[in-house]
Amino acid sequence: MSPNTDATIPAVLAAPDAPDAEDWLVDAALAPLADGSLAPLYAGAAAGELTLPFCATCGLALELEQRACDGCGATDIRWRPVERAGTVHAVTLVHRREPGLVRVTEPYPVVDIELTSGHRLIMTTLTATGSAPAIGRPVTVGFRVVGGVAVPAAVLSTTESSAPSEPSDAATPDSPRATGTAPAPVPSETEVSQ
Amino acid sequence: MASSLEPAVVGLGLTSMSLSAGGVPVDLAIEAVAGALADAGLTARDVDGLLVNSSQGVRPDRLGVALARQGGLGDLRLLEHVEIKGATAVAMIQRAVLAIRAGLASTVVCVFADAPLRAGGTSGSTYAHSGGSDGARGLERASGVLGSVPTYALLASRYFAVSGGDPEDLCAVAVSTRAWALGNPDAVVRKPLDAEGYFASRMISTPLRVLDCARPVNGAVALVVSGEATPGPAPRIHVRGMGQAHPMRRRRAPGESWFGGGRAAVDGALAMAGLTRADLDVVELYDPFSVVTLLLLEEYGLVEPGQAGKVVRSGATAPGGDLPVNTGGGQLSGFYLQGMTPLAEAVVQLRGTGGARQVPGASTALVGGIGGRGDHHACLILDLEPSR
Repeated sequence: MSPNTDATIPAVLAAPDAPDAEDWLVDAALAPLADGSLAPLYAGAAAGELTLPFCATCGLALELEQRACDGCGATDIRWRPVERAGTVHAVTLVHRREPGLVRVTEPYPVVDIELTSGHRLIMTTLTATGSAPAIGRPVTVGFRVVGGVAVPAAVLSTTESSAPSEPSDAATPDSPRATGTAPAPVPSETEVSQ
Repeated sequence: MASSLEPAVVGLGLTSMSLSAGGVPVDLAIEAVAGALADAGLTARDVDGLLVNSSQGVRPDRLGVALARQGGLGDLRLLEHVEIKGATAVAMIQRAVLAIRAGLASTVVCVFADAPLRAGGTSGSTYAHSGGSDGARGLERASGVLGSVPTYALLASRYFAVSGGDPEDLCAVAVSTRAWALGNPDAVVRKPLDAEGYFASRMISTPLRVLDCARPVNGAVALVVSGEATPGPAPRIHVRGMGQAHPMRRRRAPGESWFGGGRAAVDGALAMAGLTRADLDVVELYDPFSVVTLLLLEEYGLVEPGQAGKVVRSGATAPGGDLPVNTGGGQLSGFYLQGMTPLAEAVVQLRGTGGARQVPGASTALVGGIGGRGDHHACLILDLEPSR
């Protein structure tokens, strides 16, 4: 376990418990290459850890594909678990759904999360939701499983899995309202006007 | 053997821009090259350099240096496949000019061709299936980031959060760019557009609608850069300034990851030209998405920070405005042939052959090409007057 892992994050969100189940969002054909250049991330994810690269010499948070530190020039990279928490840095609700690759019938969120470790990581949400979380909103990180490979996913709130129900585009009157998600009332500050 | 004249763009060739499947890049490229040579009054025998720009991604029909052989060219002194993603086309012109000045070649053809529209599938589908499963891209694709629209949508959301912009600004860009396209017979979308039409268009990835996105075509553009006197009737378009910037914005706190750092390319090009932003008659920018026009206007110092939306909404960038931008309809309404789109339009404007969309008296143009997610910037100052 990571010493940084927030003890308040429910364990159920951290450990993908049904690796053979189909993902809510994408087809198994989009499974990432688990033993490729991001192998440490996927190995960690399989164990419920969010594992990201740092410079082994100066400790700077590095990009996923970085091979040398831009701070000190060292080439020794250490992947280690980080706190599974951060905030929304950028967000979009994807309406275009490529047939055969995207399984859902409604728009889905993609978020760029700024983790407390400093890294920024693009992911979708742990479960289906038609809402786009506001920039700055705190999130925790769990894992989806795509074609047997665990990948990080944002958890918008601890109750998300039981209430995935914020109406999309609620604060964007000009856009056609997405349909299909249950219309539950939500606090306005959790919505984003894009 | 150095060339006799300052290197200049002397030939321009465009294929028809097709919104339907058909054609392969090599054939489209050969057609564009032939057009550019004819425009310059030259033949393939006059060419001693070829620079090739292909679309990104590994496709079986991707354009390459084999074009020289397949296209019937003779012996060359310069042959390169240039690759800086979307910034390539502009960088090729820089490469050609430097090679001619150095005596490595005298007449260089620069060409880009692409055919993303396939039978039985849309260009969006072509892009959605591209990217592979390894690295950061593989992780993003597993997260539903297919094609480039969601990525630029994230950029747009971040840009709005920082700049204070909103969808009305995107609308203003789409409307302004369409107004220019109405006067360009090569533009593939020439139906008048207003705000109502914009907001009625299909959402792709918030806040980007289909009318915020470039129009991919099957087609090609070629330019001839030469240091020799050429018989073509068009005026020589000189490359007075050039610059590149490759900002290493990191994907980590606290800096911005999605934009910033491109200004040095424009500053460098203007300094080389001995000109200022006030000297620019037309601005031709790589605009794969409407938000990029807003972003680059600010990043390149053409408007004050945070003012791009206001400036575009004022009509300044539209026909008749003080800051004409993407005067052929850009990639949004004209055609998406990557860096060749702004480059070709700048040449047309400086030649004065823009017809209904001609900016009267245009003699100095800024051409800006970007690659990646704004990771690569290549700029030119084109001018009717030579730099020396």
